[in-house]
Amino acid sequence: MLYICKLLNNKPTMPAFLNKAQNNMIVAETLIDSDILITSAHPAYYAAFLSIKYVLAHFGGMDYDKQEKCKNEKGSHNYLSNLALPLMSKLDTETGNDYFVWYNKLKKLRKTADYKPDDIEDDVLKDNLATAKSFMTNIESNFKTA
Amino acid sequence: MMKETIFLLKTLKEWCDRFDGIHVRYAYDTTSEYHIVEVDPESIRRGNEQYQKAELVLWTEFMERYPDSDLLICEPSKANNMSNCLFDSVLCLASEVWMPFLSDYIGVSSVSYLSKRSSYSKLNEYNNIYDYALAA
Repeated sequence: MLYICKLLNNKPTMPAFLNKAQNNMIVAETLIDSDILITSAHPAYYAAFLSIKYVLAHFGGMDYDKQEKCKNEKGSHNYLSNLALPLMSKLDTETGNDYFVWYNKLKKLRKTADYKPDDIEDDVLKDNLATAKSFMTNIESNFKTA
Repeated sequence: MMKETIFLLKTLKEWCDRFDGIHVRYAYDTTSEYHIVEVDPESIRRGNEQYQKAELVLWTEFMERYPDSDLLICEPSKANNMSNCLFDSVLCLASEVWMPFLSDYIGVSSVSYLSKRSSYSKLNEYNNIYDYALAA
C-alpha cells in the first residue's frame, strides 16, 4: 500500500485526467506484481476510460463539464468512447480499430471481474494489463499536449 | 431475436463473401452482455487493408445503431466466452437452426450460401441456439 501511495503522490506534470489514467495503470501493474490479479481489471479499464476523457477534452472539443452533463443523458462510458472513435480513426484505420478492440477488451473483462462471480484465468488478467499498456501507449504517443 | 444479432449476422455473412479464407465466429456472452466476434487469420485481420476498412465500418455502424450495446471484434482468445456461439463460418453452425429466420432477414441467396458451406453440424452442443430460435 505504501508503494502505491508513494507513486500516487507524484506531482502531476501533465493534464489531470491523463495523470489519473497513468495512476490507474500504476495501480493495475502493482496489483499484478502483488499477485492480486483479478482486482487489476478495474484500474486497467479506468486507465483507458480516463485517458479517453483526456483526449476528448484536449483534442475533441468536449471539456470535462460537457462530459459530465452527457453522462446523465446516456450511458456515459459508451457515449464517450464512441465519441472518441473518429479522433482515433482519423490517424489511420488500424489505430481506429485497435482503439475499439483494446477498449472493449478492457471493458468486457472489467464487467466480468467487478460484477460476476466467474473466475478469470491468471494469464488472461496478465494479458489484460498488456492490453491496457498498449492502449495507453497509443494515447500518449498520438495525443500529446504542448 | 436481438436486432443487434440480425445486423451482425448479415454483416458477417458479407465478410465471408468478400474475404476469401476468413474465419469468423460470433457469440453473445450473457455474462458480460457483449456481442463478441472473433476473426482470423491475422493476415486478414490486421494484414488486409480492405478488411480493416470493413471492420472500422462495422464498429462505426454498430455504435451508431446500438449506442447502448457492447461489441468486441478481436482475434480468437480464451478471454472470450464463446459457449453461446451463434455463427461460425467454418462449421456453419447457423445453417440449420437459423435458416428459416435468416431467410427473412438476409435473403434466400444467403441461405443457399450457408447451406452450401455447411459441412458440419454439432447442434446438440448448442441447445441455447434452439432456445433463441424458438423464442424468435
